[in-house]
Amino acid sequence: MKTYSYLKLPLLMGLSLLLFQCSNDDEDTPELINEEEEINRVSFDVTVNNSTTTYTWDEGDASLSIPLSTNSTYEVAVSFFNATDPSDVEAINPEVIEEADEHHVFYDNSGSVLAITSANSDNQDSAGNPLGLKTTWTTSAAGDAVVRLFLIHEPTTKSGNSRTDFGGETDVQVDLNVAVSE
Amino acid sequence: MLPYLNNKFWELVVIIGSLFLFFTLNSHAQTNCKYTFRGSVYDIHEDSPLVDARVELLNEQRIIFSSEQGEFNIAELCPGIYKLQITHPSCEPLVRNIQIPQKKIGAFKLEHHVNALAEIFVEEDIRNKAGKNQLESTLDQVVLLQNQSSDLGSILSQLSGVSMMQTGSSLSKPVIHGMFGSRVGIVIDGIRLQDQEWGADHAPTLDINSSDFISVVKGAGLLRYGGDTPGGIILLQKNKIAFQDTLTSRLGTSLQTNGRGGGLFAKTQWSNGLGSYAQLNLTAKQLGDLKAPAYNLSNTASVEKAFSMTFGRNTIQSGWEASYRFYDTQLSILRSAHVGTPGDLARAIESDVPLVIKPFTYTLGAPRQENQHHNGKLSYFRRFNEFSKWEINYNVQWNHRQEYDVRRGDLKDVPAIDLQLWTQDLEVYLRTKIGENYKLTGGLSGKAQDNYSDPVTKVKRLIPDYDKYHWAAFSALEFEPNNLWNIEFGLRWETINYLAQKYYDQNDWLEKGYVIDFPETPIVDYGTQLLTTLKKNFSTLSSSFGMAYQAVPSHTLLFNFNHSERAPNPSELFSDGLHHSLATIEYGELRLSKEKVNKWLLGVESRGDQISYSASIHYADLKDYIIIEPEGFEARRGSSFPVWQYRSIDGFLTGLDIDMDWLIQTNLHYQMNSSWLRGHDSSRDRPLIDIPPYNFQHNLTWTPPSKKNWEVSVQHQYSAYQNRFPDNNFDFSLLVEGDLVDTPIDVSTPPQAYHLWQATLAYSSKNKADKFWDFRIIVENLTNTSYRNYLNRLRYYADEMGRNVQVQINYNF
Repeated sequence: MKTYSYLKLPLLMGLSLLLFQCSNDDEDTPELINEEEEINRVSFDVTVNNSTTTYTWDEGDASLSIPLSTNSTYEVAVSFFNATDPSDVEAINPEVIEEADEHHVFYDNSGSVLAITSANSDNQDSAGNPLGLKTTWTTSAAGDAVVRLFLIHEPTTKSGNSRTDFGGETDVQVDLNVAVSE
Repeated sequence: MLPYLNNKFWELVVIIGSLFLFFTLNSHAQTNCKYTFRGSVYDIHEDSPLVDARVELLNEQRIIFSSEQGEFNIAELCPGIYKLQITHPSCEPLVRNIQIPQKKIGAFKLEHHVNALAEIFVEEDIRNKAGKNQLESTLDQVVLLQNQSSDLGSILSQLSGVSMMQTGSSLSKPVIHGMFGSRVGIVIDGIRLQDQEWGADHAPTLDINSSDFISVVKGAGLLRYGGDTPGGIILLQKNKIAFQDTLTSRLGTSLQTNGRGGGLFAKTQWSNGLGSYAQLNLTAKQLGDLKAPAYNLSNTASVEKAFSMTFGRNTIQSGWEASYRFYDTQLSILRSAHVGTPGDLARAIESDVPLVIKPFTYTLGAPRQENQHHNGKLSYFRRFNEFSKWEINYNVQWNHRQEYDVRRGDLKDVPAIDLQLWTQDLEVYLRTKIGENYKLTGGLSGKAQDNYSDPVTKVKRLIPDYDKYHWAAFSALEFEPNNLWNIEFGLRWETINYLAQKYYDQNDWLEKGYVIDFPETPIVDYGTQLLTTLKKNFSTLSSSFGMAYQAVPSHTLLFNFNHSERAPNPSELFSDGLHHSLATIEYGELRLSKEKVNKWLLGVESRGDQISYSASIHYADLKDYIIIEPEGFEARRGSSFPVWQYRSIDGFLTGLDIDMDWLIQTNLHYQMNSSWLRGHDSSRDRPLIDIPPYNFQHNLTWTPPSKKNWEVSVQHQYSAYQNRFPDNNFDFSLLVEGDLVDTPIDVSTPPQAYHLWQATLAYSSKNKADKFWDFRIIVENLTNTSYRNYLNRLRYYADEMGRNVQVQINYNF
């Protein structure tokens, strides 16, 4: 009888371990996760003389070629998308505009075959800084250069000439092979 | 919790507080209570050591028990004459006067009578020692108190052979002989801690203030706690409870200038003569942003709360204990270390200062980690003859880890990692004696784990949902033919079963060849993602051999050989995700087999009146050793991210540890330790990554002859440059004036060597009274040196913490 009482505790513990194991046998199927944050498609609407051409970059493409003509002015609007699920492509621009203070679009244009300035129709943050979603590209002479687009999250400043000046993190970057020809 | 005040306020608090205490305490400074009295207790007839003899300083209410060698130490004694009473259940009490300071080791012989209780106290030390034949270093209560606001990683890095893996200045985990994470076991009061230990940026979820001793056993010799810890085992233990009516408490606070915050600590312990006892611990800490010498380390604030309670009854024949521990921490991680692309990483490495420096704040921003850990234990033991006993331990733990990244839109306040780990563990343990010279221990244990990865994160799971079942049997035979030799041989067999449900990208499943190697895997096709049900089974057989030989009375030689086998952890098998602090993508490897390490340790220990030292060499032969290293690139966010892939290699780790303790004069004490380590990947013939460089630390403690309650100490640490490192540099394409130029990113070169100084001024009102104050000012990084540490994963982004003045006040009653 005495022995029995010593065994009660271990038995109880063993039983609880067993119960724990059994209860897990019919575990639920883990839910499928579609990442909402990825930006894996960027499109550029290039407008000249009321005619718009759209150039689209998808994740995995090395770069995107954009042919331009000399001595012209282009309106360029950039759009960011999450195209992880091809049947439900999500536009990221509304989020960027809503959080304008924490975002900045920067073109590293150190090749200087064209001039890129903020367009009048560009969105602004609460301090009146242009967001860079809409830009005006002006070409003069012919030439080739790589222009790198950055969508920057939480930049430390909104003005600068190189990527380093802005700080923050790069949400996405796209290399544009800009060829300006006659 | 703590008022949000400015820097000036804290400096004032510290200065005024220090001056006040200096004058008030100095005015009635007592004596210098820092002497240690050593003694040993023998049986007068057999000249054999008496274990667990009760040694009491009469009028002092200080009681300790002799060790297995019959030895005891009474620390923190003031000069003077004391009355010492030694009792043993089977002997006549002995009373002697002793004079302090006393360099000689006292020898006390007791008249031993045959008594039914005689053997009952055998093997019961004040704390459970790891084993006579193991290389063990211990940090006692005094050291723990000095470091009460520290964490496990940094406190243990004071020991030779132990260093820390850091993530910024606020988060660390211990590294033993170059191994960390799953290769180091952490055992709290006999229970192995079960958190997400595999992560280099996951600090152990425990509060050091709820323990009285922390020991490090190098190597895998303690098979009771697992055979998978080739690095070693860290034992956190409480004092054994005395059979008497006591109620002791301690209240403490520590305030520091760097981080402008501090902690509150409370501890109380009750026991009665019938063997019942209770203990309670509370810890609360808060720090704001830390500061490097030249700038704020923005977003390094932290909050920590811990609570633990223990109840039990020990009636010699049997005993039970119930305990519950709760630990909660919120740690923010250096903001500038959160990068979006390898290009961002390159810019951060290029810059001497962090790219984000903001004004000081207590606010915990992103990125940050939030952890909760609950740990409950029930244990029972019963003796069934003089020496033998069995134990049963049941343990349940719940760990909840959330990691918040810098995110956009609605996901800002949603963690990017949210893991819940349940563990239940049941162990039966038996100890008995065979004949006169053999001791046999053994046991069985079963463990069930359930990991849940919450999909609320909207990020692909880094670690999938899995169940893990663990069965183990272990046994050790110890042979002690005489006082000179101790030999132990142990075996542990384990079987580990994983059942995981994991989504793979369809491309990954094909490209990694899993489709060929795991054709039987049940798969549900969701288009681009596949839900796989994975079963992985491992069985391991670990063994240990330990030997101690007392060559001459003052010198002991130790030899250990451990063969440890470790099943891959869930991260090594399954991990899948982007690492924001290193701009890498990490992948697990399903085909990994168990890792095998053969480790040899050879040591010599000497304890003298004036000089004590220990020296050891170790060599570990690594087979199928699992490491993570770069393997190709993957396009993400328009950049090419380095892919880090777990793989197994063969190699070796070898090193040398030296410790020395020298009582130069009665009021001058010197301590030194030094470690050298080398790790090599033989498969690729290159150095192993993250091997701590040569390290040397020493300190000198002096007590002014006229102010004997005071103590001044200076500590110096030198950390060398690690010139052996693997080259993991990679190129990224930099845009230079319209042209793409491949530019290397140096993620491999270790930082420069550095020297660190620390000074401490301590006062204790400890004398014959029960109630006393302890007061301490510690200045860390005295010279405000800017330095970076090779084993800090965020070393690319910012310097380590600058000067920190810490004031600690403790009241014992």
